[in-house]
Amino acid sequence: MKNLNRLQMQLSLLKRHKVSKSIIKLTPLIDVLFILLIFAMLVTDHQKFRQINLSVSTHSNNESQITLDELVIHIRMDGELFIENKRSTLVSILETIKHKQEKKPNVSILLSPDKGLPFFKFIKVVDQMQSSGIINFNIIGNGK
Amino acid sequence: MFRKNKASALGSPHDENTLPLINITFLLLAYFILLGTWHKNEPVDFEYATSSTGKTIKKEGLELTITEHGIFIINGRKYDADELVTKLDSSVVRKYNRIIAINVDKDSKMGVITKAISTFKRLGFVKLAIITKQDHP
Repeated sequence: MKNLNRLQMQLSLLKRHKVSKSIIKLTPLIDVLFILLIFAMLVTDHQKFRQINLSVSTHSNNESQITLDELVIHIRMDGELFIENKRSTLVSILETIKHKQEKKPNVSILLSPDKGLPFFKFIKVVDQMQSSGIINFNIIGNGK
Repeated sequence: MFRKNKASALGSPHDENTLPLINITFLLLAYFILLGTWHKNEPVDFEYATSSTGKTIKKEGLELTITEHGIFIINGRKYDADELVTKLDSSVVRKYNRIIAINVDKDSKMGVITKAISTFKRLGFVKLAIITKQDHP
């Protein structure tokens, strides 16, 4: 019995010795982990991005090219909106578009932004149009 | 019993106390790597326009940046309009499956953008998308 106990003790000591030899030093691991964490925190971004598909019409801004099935919305440099050469608000323009689309579902909407219009003002109009369900529109390539 | 064995296995009783720290660090690291978007820094000041609509971004096609001053950037290299046309030859257009994603600075002028989009269309790109930052993440 004594021999058995001694053998068990020796075995456990041997096991402990073996295990302690195969240890991983934790301090460098933590250092590397922290460096990786800081890197990931600085480099990654949690902002969400969206993509808006755009198409450019082959039309120029020439009024003679515009047909009855087209609705041209001109966006001036200061953000003022004009529909069929009449100054209007975005809300009434959206209503006009919906009204026209009810009558003629194939009516195409052409956006004609001024050359100097800042992009964020243009995207605001596009965003409002998309959120009210108007998805199909083209940009007129050669703005005023 | 188990704790004692673990402590001895790690070599020092101090190491046992660092295990939750390591676990949390690993979790944080996994969180940032998996859920974060890897942000590519442009060589110029750049600010996205915001929108609440639009589709989720698909990382496909050629990614191009248009700065406030009308400079075009592809893979960190700056081009002017004429250089860009020579850079985007038919092999490049085919390589990117005729898809182009454009990051536009919020203060860019629409004249530059419409001209660029018309040029891309002429060069053979069929799918053009403009990237915006979501309003309410």
